[in-house]
Parts: sequence; structure tokens; C-alpha cells
Amino acid sequence: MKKRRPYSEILKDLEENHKSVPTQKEIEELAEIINEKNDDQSEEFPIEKIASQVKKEPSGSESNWL
Amino acid sequence: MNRIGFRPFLNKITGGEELKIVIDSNALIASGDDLHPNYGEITSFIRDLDQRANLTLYTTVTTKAEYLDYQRRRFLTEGLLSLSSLPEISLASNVKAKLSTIKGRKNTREKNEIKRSQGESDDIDSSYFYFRDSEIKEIKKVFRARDVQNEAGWLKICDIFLSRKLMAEEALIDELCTYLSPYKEEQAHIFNNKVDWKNATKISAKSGMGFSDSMILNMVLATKIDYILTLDYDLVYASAVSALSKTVIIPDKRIKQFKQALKKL
Repeated sequence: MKKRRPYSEILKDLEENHKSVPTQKEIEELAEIINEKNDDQSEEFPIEKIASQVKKEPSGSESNWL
Repeated sequence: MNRIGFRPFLNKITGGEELKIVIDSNALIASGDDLHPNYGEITSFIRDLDQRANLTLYTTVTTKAEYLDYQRRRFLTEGLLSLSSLPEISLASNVKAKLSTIKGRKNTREKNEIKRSQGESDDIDSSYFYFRDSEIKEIKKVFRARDVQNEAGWLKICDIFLSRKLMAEEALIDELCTYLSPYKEEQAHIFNNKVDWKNATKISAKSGMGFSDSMILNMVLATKIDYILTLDYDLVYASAVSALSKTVIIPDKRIKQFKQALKKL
């Protein structure tokens, strides 16, 4: 059986792995995707579009078909 | 009595001998999370053992899966919670709201767990520090695009917060542990009985222990390995009932805690 490294070395690597954080470039890439998606979602039902579809019923109540 | 504390066990080691120990999931998890209350104790114990003896830590692939799943929840929780502190990220309002609700739930659970552990003088269960699997699924849903084909957001989150860390974690655990398998030729000398999975059901049925623990105990019973390293009362109890030929190694303070409960076993 292949001899493994001492436990203290493996533990050190585990601790380093647990502390590791994304690079600045990775965060920027994520921001690009998530922030873009933000914009997409805000464009799904623009306020003007919703307002234009609001109908006033004879009873005086307002409704829309969204 | 088939249980021994860390200190007396270390004192038994004369030095340089071959030492085979099976580690169960809660002990392995404790050794892999510095927020776990037993982290310091268990990592020091394994380090001391490793320095004194030629130690082989055995475990099962089921235990590895439990360990990696715990780390998956941890890495994703840490990553998702860090999003709000990153100035580059501007989260959509529905994502922000979902994260805030789930963070609130987690914090409440955490507070209750701290209260419980103080009231019962018991260790904190560190899994309470992380999101539940169902909560991760809830968050995943709000990150998903309405168009299922465009999953870039969630996949990027996994890519930067989870992927590399989980792969590295697996490689290190694979290096640390040897997985027990009755089908591996190089392990044939360790096994003295056939592994009959029906026995795992019998062990679980006899003491009411969980299946993942009964599977590891059943595997150990089929081997010549004498020792099981655990933190779990259930495993200590089941070993006292179903595996008297094996010795359970537990933290010294737990020997005292379990003494009363296991008095007549």
C-alpha cells in the first residue's frame, strides 16, 4: 500500500482549502452574470407596460391581465 | 467494557507499531470543520497517533459521501452568505429577499442549538451553522433563469464557491483514508468474514441505530480491525450491544458522559 503523507501535512492542506476564497477575476465574472440577470428580470414586466394594460371597470375597480 | 478514551489509548501506543483504526462519519466530519466543538481534540488525537504509530485510517465510501455532503452544504452556505458583502455583486431583489429569509431561519436554529447545548451541557451540533439541503434548493431556484436553458448564474456560484474546494477536499480525504472493500485484493488479509448486508439491518433493528452507522459497524465486524473512532453515542451503544469484540475510541469527556447511560452494558 502506498504510504500517505503525515496527517499534519494533510490537515494543513485541508485547513488551507477551507479558507480559500474566489479570486477577484472570478468575482467579477460572477458579477457580470448575476448583475446581467438582474437587468433581465427588471425588464420582464416594465412598469409602463403594466400601467398601459390596467383597465378601469364600469364599477370603478382597476384590473389587468398579467 | 469495549470503550476507551483518547488519552488512555494514546498511552497504550508504545511507538512504531502498525495501527489500524476505522473512523466513522461524525469523527471524520469533526476533524474537517474548525467550527465543530471536537475539532481541536480529534485533530490533535489523530496527529499524535500518526506521529507515534504507523497509522492507517479506514472508513467506508458511505462515510466519505456523508463527509463530502457536509462540506458541500458548508462551502455553499459560506459562499452564498458572502455575496452580500461583495461590492461588485448587485443581487436581484427576489434573490436578496430569499437569502435574507433563509439566513434568518439558519440564525434562529443556530441560536436555539446554542441554547440547547448550554442547557444540556452538550456539544453544539455544527451542522446547524449551515443551510439545509432544502434551503440550498430554494436559493438555487431563485438564481435560475426563467429560461431553464440559461443556468449561468447558479452554475457560476457553484463554480467559484464549491467546485474547486469540494474536489480538493475529496482528494485530501482520499489520501487520508483507505476505503474498506471486501472486493479489493489488497485488503483480503484484513477481512476474516464475508460482508453480509443483511447483518447491517439486524444491527440497526437491534439497537435502533441509523443505517449509515450500522453499515460501518457491520463492515468492521467482518474485519480483523479492532478499533473504531467515533463521537457518536449511538455507535458506542450499538457496539456495546452488537460488537463487543471491537473497541470504541471516544473523547475522554464522553467516556464520563456515556458511563451512566451505558452502566449495565
